[in-house]
Amino acid sequence: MEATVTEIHDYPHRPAGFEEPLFWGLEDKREAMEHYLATTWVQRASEMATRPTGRGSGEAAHARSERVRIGRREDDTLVLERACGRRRRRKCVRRSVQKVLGSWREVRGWWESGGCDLALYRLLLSDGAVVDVAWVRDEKVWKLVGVVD
Amino acid sequence: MPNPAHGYSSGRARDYARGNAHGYAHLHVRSGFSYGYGVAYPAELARRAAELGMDALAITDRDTLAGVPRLMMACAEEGVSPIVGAEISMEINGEPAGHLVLLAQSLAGYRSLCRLITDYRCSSSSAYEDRREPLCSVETLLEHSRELVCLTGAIPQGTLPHLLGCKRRKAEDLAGLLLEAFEDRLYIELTDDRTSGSRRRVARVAGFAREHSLPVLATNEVAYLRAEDHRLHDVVVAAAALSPLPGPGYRPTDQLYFKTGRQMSRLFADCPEALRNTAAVAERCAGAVKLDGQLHMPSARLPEGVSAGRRLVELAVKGVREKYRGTTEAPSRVKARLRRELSCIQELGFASYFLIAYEAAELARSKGIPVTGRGSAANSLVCYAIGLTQPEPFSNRLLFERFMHEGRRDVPDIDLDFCSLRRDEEIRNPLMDRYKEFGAAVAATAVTNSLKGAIRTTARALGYSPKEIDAFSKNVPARIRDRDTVVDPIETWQKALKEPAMRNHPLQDVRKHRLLLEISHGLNGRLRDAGTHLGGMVLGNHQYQLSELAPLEPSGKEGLLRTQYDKDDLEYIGAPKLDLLGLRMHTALSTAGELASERTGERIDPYDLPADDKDTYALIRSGNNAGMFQLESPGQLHLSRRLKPRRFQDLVAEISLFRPGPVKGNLVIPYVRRRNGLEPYSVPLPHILDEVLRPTYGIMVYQEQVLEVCHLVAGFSLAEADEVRRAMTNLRGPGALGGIKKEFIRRAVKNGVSSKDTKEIFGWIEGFASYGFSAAHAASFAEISYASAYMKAHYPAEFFAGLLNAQPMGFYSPRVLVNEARREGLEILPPNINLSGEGFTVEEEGRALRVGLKYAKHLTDKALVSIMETREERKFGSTADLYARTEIERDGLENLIKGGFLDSLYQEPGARSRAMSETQRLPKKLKRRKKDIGAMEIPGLYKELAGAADTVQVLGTSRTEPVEREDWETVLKAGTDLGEYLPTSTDRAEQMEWEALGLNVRRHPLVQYRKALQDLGVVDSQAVWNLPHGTRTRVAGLLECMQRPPTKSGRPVYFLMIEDEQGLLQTTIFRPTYERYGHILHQKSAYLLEGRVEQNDRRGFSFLVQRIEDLGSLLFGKEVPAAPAVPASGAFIRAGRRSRRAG
Repeated sequence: MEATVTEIHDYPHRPAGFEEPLFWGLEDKREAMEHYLATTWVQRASEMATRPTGRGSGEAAHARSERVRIGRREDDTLVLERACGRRRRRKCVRRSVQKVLGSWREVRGWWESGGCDLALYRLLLSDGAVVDVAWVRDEKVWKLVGVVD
Repeated sequence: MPNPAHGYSSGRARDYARGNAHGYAHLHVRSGFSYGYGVAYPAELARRAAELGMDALAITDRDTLAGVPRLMMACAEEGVSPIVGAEISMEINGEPAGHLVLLAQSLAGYRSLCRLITDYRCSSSSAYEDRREPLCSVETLLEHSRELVCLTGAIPQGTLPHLLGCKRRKAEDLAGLLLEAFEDRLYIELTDDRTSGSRRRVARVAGFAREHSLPVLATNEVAYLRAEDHRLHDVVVAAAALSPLPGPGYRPTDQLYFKTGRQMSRLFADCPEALRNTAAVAERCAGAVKLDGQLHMPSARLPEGVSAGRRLVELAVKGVREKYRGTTEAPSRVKARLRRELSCIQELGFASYFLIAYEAAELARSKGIPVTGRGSAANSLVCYAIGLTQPEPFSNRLLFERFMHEGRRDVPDIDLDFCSLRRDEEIRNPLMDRYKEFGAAVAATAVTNSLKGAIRTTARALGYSPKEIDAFSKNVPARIRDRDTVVDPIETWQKALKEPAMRNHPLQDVRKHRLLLEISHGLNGRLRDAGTHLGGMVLGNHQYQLSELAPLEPSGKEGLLRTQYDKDDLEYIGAPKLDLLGLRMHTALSTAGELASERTGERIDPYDLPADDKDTYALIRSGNNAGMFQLESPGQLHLSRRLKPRRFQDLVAEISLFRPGPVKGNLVIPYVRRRNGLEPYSVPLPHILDEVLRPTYGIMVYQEQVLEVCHLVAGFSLAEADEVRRAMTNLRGPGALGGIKKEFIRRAVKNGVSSKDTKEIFGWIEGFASYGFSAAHAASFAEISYASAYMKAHYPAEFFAGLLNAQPMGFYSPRVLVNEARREGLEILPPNINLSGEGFTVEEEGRALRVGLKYAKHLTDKALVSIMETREERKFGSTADLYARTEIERDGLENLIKGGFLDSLYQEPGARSRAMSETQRLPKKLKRRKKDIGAMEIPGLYKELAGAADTVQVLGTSRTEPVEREDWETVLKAGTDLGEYLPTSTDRAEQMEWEALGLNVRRHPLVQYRKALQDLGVVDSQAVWNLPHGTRTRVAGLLECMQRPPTKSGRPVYFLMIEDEQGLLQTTIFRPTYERYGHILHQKSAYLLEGRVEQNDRRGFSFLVQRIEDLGSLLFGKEVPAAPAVPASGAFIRAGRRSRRAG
């Protein structure tokens, strides 16, 4: 079977019946998220009851390593700035830091090439997200390393 | 690092952090004395606490109080109040369960803590036998809770947090027990190491405290000084567990550092109560324990109703009567001095200490073990009278005040030397048993990392292979110690890597090994481990058991306890130690005496020899001093030839002069010239000082002379004069003597001495201060030096046998001693399995020495004993016979063959090859049955065995079985062609003997190359002495040692001692030559040295090296059998010695 380049490009990305994207825009996402937050059967990780063993609670729901910036507005509030989207849709999202929920250090494996030397902060952002950001001492950059809720 | 929570710059943060407005004091601090759990020195911690404005500081090392005296000394200097405590490793139901922290709130609390630590560390019933990981049971802890404050341990490794994590019920039970025992002295410790989830863990522990209404207290579990030191800490933890990183219980944190009060306040801002409690406990415990200022003299065992003082008087009077009967010494003078000494000893309360020393010496004498005293104790007539020291005080001008006087409040120090082989079992252990009721232990030492040790520790932690670790540590400059100080320390890698020794070293790739170099540099000089003092015994008394004065722990030797404090710490707490030292020269001399008595049939006692023997002094003057106690170092050989000693006082001076101080002070040359009449001398203020300084030709050599000069010139009492000496020698430096100088001048002028003379004399004393040596110590050593020289002069075979059988000892390797013996005209007989003794034996009426069995490598003690016993029944007939009848293993047998022990069993030329071939086919000893041996097909193997006996012993039993003739017949029928075993060449045989024995049995290895060396223009080591000044020539030899003594100018000079077949030769290498060729000295061990002969009136002969070459490469790659160069204490490098037992 042969096809021209134009035919290939015209071929639909999604099969029939799946043409619509899951969310049309950010508002749709928020609507879905609010629905979930309103349910009784979904809990924020940070709100989970602490078990006696201390395991399995409060851990990051989603971990990544994404470069972010932390700046300061004129009114002295801290702002976390991260890029989202890809290529032409790429844009900068800023969220102010509502509260520093906690901080800790991690200096794991300094004797190996993959070791880390991090100062970590758990931040409550203005959109209600709880994220972990790390100051990477060697690279002198901030990184988003975890999204807790 | 920017902080999103606070937002101020790091500079501002530092400013904000200064000061300690909240009264915080660290209560949970581990120092380097935790050996594997901490890094910082107590002094560093105290300094940091003072910098941060903290009023108090606790030290809580893991299972030890070893750092307490140092902390107290440092805190006194820094103006900080010390708090005494310890981290106690706990066990619950036999399982390790974290740690608790105990703090002493009074001196009684300190004693409780000492008893507790002693109890669980020394408990034989402990389930954990490993002395490095002691565990304390809750019951033991509760028994010793008096006057102690208890913190429940850091989070998460403390006992309570540990239990809360998994066994809440047990945690509650434990808290109940602790509350009952400690009452209001129990605190729940909160620590935040800021690892992930730490706040949650803190909240859980704080919640537990709230639930149970227990007070909380904030600490930081300090383990290092600065955050960046966490890497050192991680390495130290891994090294202590002998594991690569991460070590056991690794925590990914750098927060266990010495935080400021403000940082701690911020960390526990949500729990101000914890901070308040910390301050309250600090206030309660700070300065509560004071250990200095009181002397804890050990109690002697005395008959009922007899006081120590009375007993000492009895012994001293009796001794004096015996020793001075028939002498010319005026009785009134002796009596007055004895009275003066006894009254001083009584006043200071030291009588019992003298009696214990006397008891040790008597114990030795009763068993025929040689014992001598050393050190300043020989200044005492009482010590001489009761037989603790040997030099006679009056004739040697020894002054009691140099040893002891009423003004000195420090502990006395009597050092006794015993035969090292018998000291532990026959002296120290029985004596310690006698004093068990008061507590008896030996002193500890604190071992620190050298650069070499640090690189090994770091490389192991970083996971390098043993081969790589060896390569990294090879040729790293070693520390050179002079007593307690390190001479010219090389502390940085930058400096070390520039040393010639490290040329072409793998660590030269600095970029590749950056981490290794950084960490090892950080560990250099840090505490590594606790060791055991060579002989310092400490005892308790009627008032305090020793375990109440200092905590005790197992030393690692069966049944021997040691204090956790070292000698300086013991002095600080006022517990005197008695040094019972082992001296190998005593072992060698007593062996030599026994052998000589056996051969001659007369009793030869090396400790009772005719005085002023001319042959003895002639031998010393010849410079052939190898083996002579204190006279055998290269410098002393040279000095003996120049000083030309003829009497005992010359030996005392010679021993005193060749010390770093007099060498640095350039006293040696003027002394030698004046002694030999080459230089006139005068004494300042001759009418006053002539009597004092004339014996040393106007040169101040001894510390005792300082005392006399101060006494005669300024009218100081001898006690005051000793204080002047101590002030000068206590490393305070010449500038710190202003007050003393003023007083000296004032009193001297009042005494009628002119101001000019007074100033000159004081300057003289001041200059002398740093290098004076005690005449008493030198005279004590000179007695043994004379004995060793006498034995060498009159009984050389026995003397060398004694030395070679007491290895490791002395300056020279056994290889050189054997060659020296040969040069002295003794024959070295080859080893023989049927004739060799355990060690070297004397044969042919004292004209020959035979190599002993213990010099064979890999020959176990068990095998050695079985060989000695078995051959009593019947001589060995063959390799198989030896193997079958003794406990020897195959590797030991191979070394016996290589060493030539079995050569005599085979008459044919290929004997050694044949024996080796047979050994290859012998069965392993696991199947030690006669049938296994009989089943082997070894042509000709059983010929000798069959001929030798009709029975064979079944190994491991005393049973013998008849030889099965049929088996032998079968074996013999197979036959053997003896011609197939090629004879071993002489070169090869010598090489084998060197490898197996570490000795040149047949001849010196350079003998065979002499012709080739002559072609290279090399002269031998004796001929070079006779060459005229300025001659350029070459010498060649094997490395024996190279030293780098301090010099007057401070420029390093290296003295290389080489040996050829004619003897030893000391050569001089200046720094430029060393920098150019030094790597050859470290990497090879046989050299050709090109240089210039110097013949100088002042310095005598010297050979200045200008070029160094590897001898092996010049001899067309021939391998000269020589030991590799290794770094050594006391010498810069020296020829490696093979093993501890055989030297």
